[in-house]
Amino acid sequence: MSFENPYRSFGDANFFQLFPSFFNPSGNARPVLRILTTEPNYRKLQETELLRKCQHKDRKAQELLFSLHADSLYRLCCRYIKSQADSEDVMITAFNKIYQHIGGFAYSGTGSLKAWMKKIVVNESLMWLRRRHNFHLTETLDESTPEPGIEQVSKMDADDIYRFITELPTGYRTVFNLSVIEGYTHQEIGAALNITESTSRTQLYKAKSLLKKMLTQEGFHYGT
Amino acid sequence: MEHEFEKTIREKINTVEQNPLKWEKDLVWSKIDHPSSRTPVVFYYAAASIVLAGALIFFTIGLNNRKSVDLQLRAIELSIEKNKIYQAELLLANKIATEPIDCVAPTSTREEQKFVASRPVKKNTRIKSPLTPLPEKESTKELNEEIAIAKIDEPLAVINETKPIDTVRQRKGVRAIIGTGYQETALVKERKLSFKLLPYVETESIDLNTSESLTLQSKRNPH
Repeated sequence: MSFENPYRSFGDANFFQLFPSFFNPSGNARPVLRILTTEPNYRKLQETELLRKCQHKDRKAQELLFSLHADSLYRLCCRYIKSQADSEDVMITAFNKIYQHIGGFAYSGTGSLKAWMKKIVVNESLMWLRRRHNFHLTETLDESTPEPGIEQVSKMDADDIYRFITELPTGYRTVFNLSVIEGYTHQEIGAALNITESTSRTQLYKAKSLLKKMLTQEGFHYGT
Repeated sequence: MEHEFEKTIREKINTVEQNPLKWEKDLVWSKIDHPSSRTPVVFYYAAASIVLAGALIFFTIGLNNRKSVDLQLRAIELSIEKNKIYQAELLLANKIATEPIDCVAPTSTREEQKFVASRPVKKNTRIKSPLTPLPEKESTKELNEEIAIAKIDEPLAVINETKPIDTVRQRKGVRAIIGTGYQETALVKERKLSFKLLPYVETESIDLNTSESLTLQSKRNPH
């Protein structure tokens, strides 16, 4: 005698999958991002109008801002923090700060809002890393040591470059991200990570050396 | 100095980060605090109305409870008062029924008086009271005349006690009180009291409502 699933008539989905908002066994009502599909008028909003609505704490505008920028900011966060769960925690903290301080943001042209949000996410990621990682290194390099050339890295595919960067050790990866990708100076990196400038230079040197080594190992794909 | 290849790497990374990645976007969105301009006002109104409603209910219940408690207390007080009156009347009734009242003035008001030794008196002779006449109350005179009738061949005893006349007069009042009780009073035997000749001393009026104020001496008169 075979047991018939009563929910088979709905296909493979059961009642809770068909009606997720009807009842949630976990007890937490989970709002679903539907702003981009349910509110077509909000999609047509200009960045300034969206910013103004967010500054007036409009819930739909906040949802739209999250929907538009959360994916890229999450990938930015993953470049600093390897763990997906930790990255999501950092994203929660970062967006809380964004919504709290967006009232004081001064718009200065197209892309300034996203740049400001990226800065907040990077700062939150660095704060998370500072709590869990020691960036202080005792060894220092001679400043006359020439930097290893990573020109060949720039010829790689973007996804491979991203993968290489994420495979670097935490200290190297952080300094490389801040220096090469974000464009911070060593002084700014030292202030952000609470390390000296020479430590920042050492970390960047070692990061580039390791990238070059990894490129050499992968060189079979790109050399031919 | 920024190298050209670094700029290239940066552009490529930025391009990669535009591509969406599968992650718990809805979960993160649900955990973000969403400050709203409307929420606090609505919340304050709701909280204030809840507090007001609670206070109203609390005071209404408390008022009703207090009324009922007050009524119960009043009933208890009334019953206690009735019980006190009943006890006092019962005590008086029992004492009057069993003992002759012989009131004695307080010690402070007594005056020691010395009398000459007694002498025999003839039957039905009217004798003058050796006491000083009562200056104020006429009733005292009547009482004195009544008292002045002495028995035959009975020597006058040395009187060193005083009997307040008011007390003697109020005995009728005591009987009246007994009659007003709502319980059946004990049978009070009519007794003829013999009074001795007494000097008048100002006495305090005795409150018959309190049994302690009566100084009763139990001297049984055989007659």
